[in-house]
Amino acid sequence: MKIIKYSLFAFLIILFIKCSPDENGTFGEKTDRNAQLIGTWKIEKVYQIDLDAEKKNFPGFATKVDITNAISNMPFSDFEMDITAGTITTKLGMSPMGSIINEGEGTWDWITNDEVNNANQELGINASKGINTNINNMNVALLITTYDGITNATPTLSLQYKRTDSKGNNVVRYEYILAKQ
Amino acid sequence: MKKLITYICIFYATVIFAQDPLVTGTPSNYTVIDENVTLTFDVTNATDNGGNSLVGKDLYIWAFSNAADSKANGDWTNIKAAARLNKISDTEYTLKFPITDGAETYNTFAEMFGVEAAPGSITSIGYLLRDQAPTFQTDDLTIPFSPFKFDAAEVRTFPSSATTKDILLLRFNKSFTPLSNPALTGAENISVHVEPVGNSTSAVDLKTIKNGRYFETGIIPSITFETIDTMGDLKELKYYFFDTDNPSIKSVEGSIILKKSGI
Repeated sequence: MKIIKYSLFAFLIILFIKCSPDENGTFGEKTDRNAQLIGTWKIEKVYQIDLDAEKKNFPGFATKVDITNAISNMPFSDFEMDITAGTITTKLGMSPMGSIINEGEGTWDWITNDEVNNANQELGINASKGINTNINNMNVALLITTYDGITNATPTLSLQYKRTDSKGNNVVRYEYILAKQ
Repeated sequence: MKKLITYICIFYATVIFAQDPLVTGTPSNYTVIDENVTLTFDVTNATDNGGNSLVGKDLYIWAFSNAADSKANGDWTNIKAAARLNKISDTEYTLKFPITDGAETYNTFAEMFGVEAAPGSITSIGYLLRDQAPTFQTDDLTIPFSPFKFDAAEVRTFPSSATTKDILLLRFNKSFTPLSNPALTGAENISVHVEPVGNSTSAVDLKTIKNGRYFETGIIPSITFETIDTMGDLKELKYYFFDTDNPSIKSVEGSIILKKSGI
């Protein structure tokens, strides 16, 4: 009798420990960020952020400035970026974007070295993520500030570019608000 | 009765003369991002929270701020060696940056509190002194420091630091008091003269527009002074503002050192 009792007990333990569903459960579909990025984007607004002032909590006018029309005859709105699956094409026009990114056709992929942000992205929540672009052998990382606006009637995308000096120190940050065409 | 009076006198003497440690910094006006700061604690008349003198004791600092606790603290019952004050004399102790904490080094208060990315978030720094065990401790005390302060100026650039490839706004604050040249108050149109240091022949004069508190215009130095940049000589700009309608009326001169871009 004891043997039967112990066998049954062991069987139940094994049953609870070893049994698991064949696939992990899921609550709805993952957001397809690739699909959301695909399209033609034009710059609507550009802000420049003084990183030193930001660190020191200086007043807004000394920290973040709208530079959309800062340089005469060089409108940022001339800049156009066309994203397809794996390829990116840029047109600079008269915009000052030439000091950030090359003009032409190249490739892009997700920045994948940030596990937390990847997890956030898969969950479809706002995340600081980004894409690596390569156009004419120039690599530029564009960070995504937020996905807010990506599902608007006219989708908007908030990209950031951080300028470093030749020693690798952060100098300034640019925030670009782009609208899907 | 005599004994009672003596005890009362000793009690009042303790209360009257007991003080917090006197904290002084070198340099005197340090911020939380300044390196090589040394704090000196004068404990001549300082006592712990039991009224016992700190003179000559082995002292450790347990530091905290509104943003975070010091990374050099460790656990309350196992304080780190990095938190031990340097004993200069029985009454004088120092905390000297950089602080070595195992494999880590804290060059500033901001790094010690782990908020080097946002040092402006530190608005107060507190501490107490104790021994290693601890068998005694002081009350919570305060370490003074200089807050970050935005200094208004007649002329400035935005951003304050830039590479040759960045957009650089040159700004003139006509409302600044006192203006270096009061005659500029009457100027309706204001221009800016920008000159690469060491190459005055390449200078340009640009019109500004009024934008909020500033008359300003933007340039990208590597484009405005392309030839000099190509030669690798574009390292600093000087600039001043002037009345477009009367160029002899000029502002004070400003300058900015341009960094080389990482790409």
